[in-house]
Amino acid sequence: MNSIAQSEQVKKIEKVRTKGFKNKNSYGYLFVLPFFILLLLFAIIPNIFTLFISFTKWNNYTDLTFVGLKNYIKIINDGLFFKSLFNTLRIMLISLPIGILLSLSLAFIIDQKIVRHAGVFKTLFFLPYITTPVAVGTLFGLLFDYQTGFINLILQKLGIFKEPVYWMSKPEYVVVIVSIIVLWKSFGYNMILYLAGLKTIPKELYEAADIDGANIWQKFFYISIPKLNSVTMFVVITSLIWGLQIFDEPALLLVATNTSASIASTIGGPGKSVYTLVSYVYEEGFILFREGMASAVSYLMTIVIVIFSIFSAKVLNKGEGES
Amino acid sequence: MVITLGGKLFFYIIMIMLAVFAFIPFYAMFAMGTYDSFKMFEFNGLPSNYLMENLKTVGGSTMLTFFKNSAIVSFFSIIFSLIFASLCGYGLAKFKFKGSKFLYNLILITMMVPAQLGIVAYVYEMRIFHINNSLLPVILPFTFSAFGAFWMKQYIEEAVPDEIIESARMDACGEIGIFFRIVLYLISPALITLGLLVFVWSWNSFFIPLVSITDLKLFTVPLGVNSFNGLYFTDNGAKILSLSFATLPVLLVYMIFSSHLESGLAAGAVKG
Repeated sequence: MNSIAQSEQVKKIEKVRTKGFKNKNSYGYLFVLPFFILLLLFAIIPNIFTLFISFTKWNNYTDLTFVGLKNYIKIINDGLFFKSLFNTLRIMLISLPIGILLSLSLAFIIDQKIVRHAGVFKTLFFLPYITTPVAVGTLFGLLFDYQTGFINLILQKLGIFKEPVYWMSKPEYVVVIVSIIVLWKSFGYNMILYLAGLKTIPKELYEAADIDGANIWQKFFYISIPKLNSVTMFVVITSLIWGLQIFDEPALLLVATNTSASIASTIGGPGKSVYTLVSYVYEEGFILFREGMASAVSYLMTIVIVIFSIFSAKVLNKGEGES
Repeated sequence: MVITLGGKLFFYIIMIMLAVFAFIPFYAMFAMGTYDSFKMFEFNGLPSNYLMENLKTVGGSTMLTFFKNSAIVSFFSIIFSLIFASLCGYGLAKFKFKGSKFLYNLILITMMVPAQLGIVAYVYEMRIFHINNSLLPVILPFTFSAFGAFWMKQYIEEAVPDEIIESARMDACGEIGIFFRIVLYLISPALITLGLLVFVWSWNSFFIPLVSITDLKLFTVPLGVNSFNGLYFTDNGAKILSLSFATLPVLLVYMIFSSHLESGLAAGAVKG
C-alpha cells in the first residue's frame, strides 16, 4: 500500500518535471530520423535490390531475366571465387606474421618507455596507414618500375642484380610486392591496437616480475604476449576482412607502370595473382556489365565477411571477459 | 627496470630502422618528383632541379579541378556525417522509444556489412535519381556513418550526464535547443575526431567514385591520380609529383591532429 502511494507520488513529480514535454521520448524519433532515412535510401534499399539482381541476368539496360540460383552456382563452380579468397589468404600469410611481430614489439618498446620520443616514432609508423591508397599503389608501382624505379636502381647500384627486373611480369613478384605494401601500410596501425591492449595490463604484474628478477625478454614473452592473445586474434581477423576487400593498391600498382594504363586491362595482375573479391565485383559489374553475377559475388563476399565479423566479435567479448 | 646501454641501443636501432622503412617511400616520392623522367636513373638520393618543369606538366587547371572536387566531397561529407551521426547517437543514447533497440542493432549490422555490398544497385539508383552527373554519389555514402552513430551513442552516454539535460528541461529549454546548445558542446572532442576520420576516408575514397563518376570535370583527387596514368604514362617524374600533391592534405592533417586520429582509428577498429 505504502509503496503504491510512493510510486504515485513519484509519477506526480515526473509529470511536473516533464511539463510541456508530454511525449518527451518521442523526440527520440525526431533525432534518429534523418540518419535512418539516409541509411534506408542509400544502403538498405540498394542492398535489397542487389540481392534481387543477384538472381537475375541483367546488363543495366535490358530487361531483367530471372535465373534463380544460376549466378551463385556459376561462381562457386568457376573457381575464381575461391582463387580470390586464396589470394587474400596468401598475401596475409606472407605479411601478417612479420607484421604482428613488428607491431607487437614496437608497442611493447613504446609501452615500457624504453626509448624516448615515442610520440614521434608513433606518428611515423602510423603515417602509411592514412595515406591515400591510390597514391600508395601508384607510388609503389613507380618505385618498382622497370626502367626508372628506385628499387631497380638501388639493386643494380649495390650489384645484387646486373639487369633490371621486370617486377610486374611474374605472379610471385607481384604477390610479394602487394604483401610488402600491406605490411608497410598496416604495421603502425596494428601497433596502435597492441598499445591499447598493453595499457590494460596492470602495472603491478610487471613490478612483481621486477621483484622476481625477470628481465625484459621474460616480461615480453611471459606477461605481455599471453595477455594480448585476443588482440592478436582480432588483428588477424580484421586483416583478413580488410584483405578480402583490398582493391586500390594492387589495381594502381599494376596500372602505374603499364602502357595500356587502365585498371580494367590489368586487373588482378599476372595470373590474376592479386585478384580479390572486390576486384571480382568490379570486373563483373563495371567492366563486363554482368550485374547479376556482380551482385551474387557481392553477396557471397558479404557472407564470408559477416562470418569473420561475428567470429571477431566473439573473440573480443571473450577477451574482455578474461580481463 | 634496468636495461643495459647495449640493450637500449638495440631497441633504438629497431625503432629507427622501422621509421626508415615507414618513411622511405615518402622520401622517394618527394625527391623523385623533382627529377626529369629521362634522368631518373641518375637518382642519387638527393632532389634534382626539374621540379618546375614537372609542375608545369602536372598543370594548374586539371589538378586544381580535382582538388576542388575532393574538397567539396570532403567538406559536405564531414558536415553531414557529423550532424546526422550525433543526432542519431543522441536519440539512441538519451531517449527510450519503441524500436530504439532494433535501430541500434541495425547500426551494428550495417557496420559489419561491407560498403560495396549494394554497389550495383546504388550506381543504378544514382542514375534513376538523375544525380549520377554530380558529386552526390560520392558524398552520400559518407552522410550516414554507421560507425559515427555507434560511436556518438557510446560517447554521449558517457560524456552527457542526464542531470544536465534534465536541468535544461527545467529551464524550459526545448529538446532541439538542448541538443544544439548543450550536447554538441559537450561532445565536441568526439566531433573533432569523427570529422578528421571522415576527412581521411572521404579524401582517400576511390572505389565508389570509380564506378559512379565518368565526367572528367567531376574527378576527385584519387580518380585524377588514376587518370594521370593514362595521360602521361611515360612521364614518371610528373606522375610522382602529382602523388605528393594528392597525399599532402591528408598527411598535413594527420601531422597536426595525430593523437586525435590514432585514438579514433583504434576505436574504429573495435566496431564489430
